[in-house]
Amino acid sequence: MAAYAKGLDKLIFSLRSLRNLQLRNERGLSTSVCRPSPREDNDPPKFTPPPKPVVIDKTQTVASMRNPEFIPPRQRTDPFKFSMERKDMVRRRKVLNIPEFYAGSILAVTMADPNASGKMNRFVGICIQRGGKGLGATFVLRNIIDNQGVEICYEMYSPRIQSVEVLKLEKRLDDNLMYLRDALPEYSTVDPDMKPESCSTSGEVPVNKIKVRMLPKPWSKHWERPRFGIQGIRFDLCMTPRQMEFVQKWAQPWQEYDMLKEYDTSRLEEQIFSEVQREMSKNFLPHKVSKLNMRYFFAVKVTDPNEEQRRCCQTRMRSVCPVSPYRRCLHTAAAVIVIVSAVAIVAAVITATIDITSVSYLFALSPPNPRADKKIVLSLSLSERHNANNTNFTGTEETDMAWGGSGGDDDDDDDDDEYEEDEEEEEENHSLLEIICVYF
Amino acid sequence: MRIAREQGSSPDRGYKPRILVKSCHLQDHTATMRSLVFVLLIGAACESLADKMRLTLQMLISHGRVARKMGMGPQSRINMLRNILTGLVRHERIETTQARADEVRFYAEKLVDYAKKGDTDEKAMKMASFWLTEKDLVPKLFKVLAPRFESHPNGYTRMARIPCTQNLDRAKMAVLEYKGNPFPPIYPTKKQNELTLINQLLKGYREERAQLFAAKS
Repeated sequence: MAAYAKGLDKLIFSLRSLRNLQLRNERGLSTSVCRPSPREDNDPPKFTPPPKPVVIDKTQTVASMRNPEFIPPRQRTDPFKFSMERKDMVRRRKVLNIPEFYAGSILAVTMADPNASGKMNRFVGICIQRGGKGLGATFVLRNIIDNQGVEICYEMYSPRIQSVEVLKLEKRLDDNLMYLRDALPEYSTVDPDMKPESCSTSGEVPVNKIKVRMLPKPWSKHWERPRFGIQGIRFDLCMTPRQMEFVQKWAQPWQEYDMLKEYDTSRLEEQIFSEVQREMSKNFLPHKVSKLNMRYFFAVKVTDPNEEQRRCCQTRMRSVCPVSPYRRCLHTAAAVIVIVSAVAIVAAVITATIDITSVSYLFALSPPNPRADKKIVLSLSLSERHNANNTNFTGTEETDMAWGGSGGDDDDDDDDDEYEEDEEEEEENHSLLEIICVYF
Repeated sequence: MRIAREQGSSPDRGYKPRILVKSCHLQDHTATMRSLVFVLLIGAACESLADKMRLTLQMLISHGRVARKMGMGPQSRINMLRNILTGLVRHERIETTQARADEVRFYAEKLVDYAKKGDTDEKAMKMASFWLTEKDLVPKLFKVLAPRFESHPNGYTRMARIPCTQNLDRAKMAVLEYKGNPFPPIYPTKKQNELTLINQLLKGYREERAQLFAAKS
């Protein structure tokens, strides 16, 4: 998902940058001819070609930062478990678009809820933490509603989640913003009816260097201690310099040099993200994708910049939009109805040609007699050839015993007599009768 | 537990430089669970201690923890390992306790990995200056050890456990060395004596066969 969109982002970024560079050249530099210096009047002015556009693809620098849940932790578990999880994660990402976001970005999540009115539940909040690896990856959204702080931890790959929209994409100075619980409420309030904001034109994610003001102590955790390494709090307002020095007692400067604690993921990342990219591009079923999304996949030039920006916010990852389950149900239901109707029409055609009573005999067949090993022949006559006195069907001697009971409304004794009579007559009328054989 | 030595004797750095090593064989390690259980029992017994310290199950369970407890805490452990590592880089073969040798082995190999990155790398220089307390060894690391192990992808050290303990506390000792050192090998290869009868006969056989082969071709 991420990796595929990488390519598209790169393409569009390069297009944009080319456009921008061209504009700059038009505005500022005179690219064609250099002004001749006063000394060298005789020599013709040298043509210096314009500098080649250097496309710095910043979207590709840290792929792990965008999707940290793909990188497995340092454990003794079998890597096969992680590869299986990754397959499932890719499958889910093909259905639901999970955009790129960081701690500090504002998201709106709609989740299926059986107890909510309208069965859907929408929550808007600021992402304070992204935790977990693999399918259990979570993110916590925080908001203050009616003077009550609310934090909801969503599982990214849960099937209950219907959509994840990024209303404002930005980063903060820290990865973990749990200290917002002890900060002034203004820093955690997000307007629930917020509209998605336009993202920056360059590939970089803007870093919000805001330093948050805190409520008076005590806090839920000692955020000032060096073990948290928080940059985004205004300590100068809530603590004296003496307190700050005292806190350094808990500093562990040797940890920075402890080679045991280092986890080098560069090689693992390359491997994993290339694998994910391959999986995402594979098994692409065009008929399930709407026309709108086809444009994204085939990288058609988007000329309207406003449209581009709008789309950029809603789906930073250009990928398959989910075909909603309701639409799929409708498709299948329609198909079923068509098939059933076709069958019904065929049946009606058949019944039109055959007498209804004879059809009922066809369907009201008794279970096969174990004594009757040979095939049982049932002959049905057309309504025209039908003798009013005779019964509608005849059978061999063996089957008479079987059919005697189910022959109809007549008594058993009468049936036997009738059969004896019919056999003689039938030998003459065989050629005239149309026989439909039913084999057991 | 080291017994206090008289004044004037050599300082206890935690390791001893070694040149010649006698033959060794494998020995078993003792478990440290006993000490942990002991601590917990003592903690449970003293209520005042229980008030100050949170006695969690996490303290007893060490699933997945790779770093041993040494010295008087994490800082003491790192300092001790630093000293031993400095000694290893200086002497290239040292004798310590088995646990310390095992811990230092990891850091010794990682240090060489950093040294391979080169002098100019900031992070490598910081690491080297932190881990080597004697600063005259920093150029030795970058200019002698790093080029020596250029062709090796990993496995720069060799650890051999020693049977005989001259210590009073009967601590299990081990010898740790960087490969390619100038000293005689820890596991010396036994030379075959050429002057025995069988070896002489075999030598004659080999020579005859070589002559025949030369005559054919």
